[in-house]
Amino acid sequence: MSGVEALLAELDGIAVETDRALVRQKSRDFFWYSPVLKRQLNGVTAEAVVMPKGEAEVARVLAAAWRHRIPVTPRGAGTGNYGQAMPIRGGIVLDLSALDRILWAKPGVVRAEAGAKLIDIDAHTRAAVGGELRFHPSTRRTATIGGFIAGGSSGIGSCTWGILREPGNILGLRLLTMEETPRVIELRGPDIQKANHAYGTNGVITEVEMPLAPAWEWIDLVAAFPTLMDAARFGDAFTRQDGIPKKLVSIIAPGVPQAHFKALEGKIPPGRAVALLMVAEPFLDHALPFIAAHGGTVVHREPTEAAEVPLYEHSWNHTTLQVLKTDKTVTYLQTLFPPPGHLDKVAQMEARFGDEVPMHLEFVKFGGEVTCFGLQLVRFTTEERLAEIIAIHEQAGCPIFNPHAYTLEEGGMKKVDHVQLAFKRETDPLGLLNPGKMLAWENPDWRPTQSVHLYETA
Amino acid sequence: MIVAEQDTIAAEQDHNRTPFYEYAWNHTTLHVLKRDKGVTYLQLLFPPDRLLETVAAFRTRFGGEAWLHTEVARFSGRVTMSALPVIRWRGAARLAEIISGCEAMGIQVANPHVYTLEEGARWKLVAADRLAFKRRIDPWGLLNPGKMTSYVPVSEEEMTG
Repeated sequence: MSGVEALLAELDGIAVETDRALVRQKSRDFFWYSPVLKRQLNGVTAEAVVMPKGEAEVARVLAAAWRHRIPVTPRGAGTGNYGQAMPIRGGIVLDLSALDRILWAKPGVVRAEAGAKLIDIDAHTRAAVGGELRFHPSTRRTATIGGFIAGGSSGIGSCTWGILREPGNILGLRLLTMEETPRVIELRGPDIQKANHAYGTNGVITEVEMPLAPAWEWIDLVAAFPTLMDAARFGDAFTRQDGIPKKLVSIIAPGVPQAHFKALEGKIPPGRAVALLMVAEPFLDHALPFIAAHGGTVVHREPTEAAEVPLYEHSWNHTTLQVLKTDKTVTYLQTLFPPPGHLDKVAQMEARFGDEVPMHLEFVKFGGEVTCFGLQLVRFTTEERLAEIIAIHEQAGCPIFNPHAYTLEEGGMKKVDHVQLAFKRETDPLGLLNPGKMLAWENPDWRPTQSVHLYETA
Repeated sequence: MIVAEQDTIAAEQDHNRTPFYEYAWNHTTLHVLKRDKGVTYLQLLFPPDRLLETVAAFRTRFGGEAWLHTEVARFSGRVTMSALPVIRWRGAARLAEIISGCEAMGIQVANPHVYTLEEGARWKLVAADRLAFKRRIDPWGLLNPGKMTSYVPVSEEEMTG
């Protein structure tokens, strides 16, 4: 009897899946966006998927896994892009999507179990208290709140609220530790950073408490502009309009939406760049003249909720997905264009790479400053050329959050997060939670070949 | 170190308490005026790209006669500070000197010691479209007269002709 079989034998009453095809399916995410990760992770699979129905069952699974020394990789809906929830050392996948209760909502705040879907939380808080989550990823219709916090960082809403790790964007996290007798820990305030965006390596998130934003009726608007830089300058100016509630300011290079956005087929004039916007309905009287004053033409307008394919499913990481549906040769980057010179750097990189790296910008507030992330498409040739494109961006002062790496350190700040490492020593002393993702666990002296220091973290 | 904390709504409803916002913005000057009639104030806007250094420069230059309180605000998506300094009144000439000194330091001044739109405006002008709008909706200049001094009322001849 293998270790996993012995473990499963102790989980009487808890749902488990051992069918090889189904287990492999639940061991994967959207890592194949990256040709590098596709090569590295394609063979990854767990031996079983365990699907607990509540915190008590999660604790039973963790205690049994501790006794048998079996790796446990927690997972929500598996909509990540960097193998966050892929069990690279085997063992079991802990599917938390059955922990889906919304525990309570009051004006401005909601508390839910980790497996609750973002779309279900929004529907609940809209009806109950007129609020909605401040952010969601482009995978709102499938992703879970716990998965978003453990594996995500920003998204639709970041043009107004910044990124998830900024103080106040998460109010509470409840976790279970991986010990002989799992303990419950509630993190609040600055302590939340111990487990935020840690890929479930240092505790299993079972509940979250999140702040809410006003739930407006959102309108999807697509505006066409003569050039990418016209659209980018508009995006920058529009994001600065604090008086106009907005949730999305996404700028995409000419050619991409025309060729790949099926839901907008025939609407975007050839050769035009586009801005994809979500604007609160009562403010269209201000937003529409603002678009026109910047040389934009509105070519599509529809309430987000009424859309068959909402605009946000063309933004953030979904932009790349829409292109991949018809062109398997592309991959992407994740770039920070640091303010205040961000627009100049966008122009510089656009001129340097042209159609090899079609521009895709997401305007955000980052540390209170308006700037843009680039999720540029890359017409992939070789891994060497991809590394060269990344190096050229970094030398030009545009740090890359490498989406072609599956570890926390390489994909993130390129440095050891000592707070998260210290917390893992408390919560997972045997190193069984999502092993292999926190490089510092195995090598506390890990150093990147090239360190990136962002002003935000200085 | 938190030195005071209260529930805003509870403070509003209690006659013996004061919500903190009633110490801020224009209320700051009001509280000083309750005890000292010898002060007045200005309305400043600091440049966001040189915010704290300009605040420090103001204090160095006018600290002896101006008590600074700043109000943090976002304008066009950028964090900056307004200020409504309480100023020891030393006559109109000195006040004019402070205003021009601020403007030379890159601090915008919205002069609260004037009552016409023109004098309070940055370029001492009312925008042409406002004049044209007033001509359409108040041709005889009967609405709040004396505040838009560059407006010339429509004459009887124009009206009837």
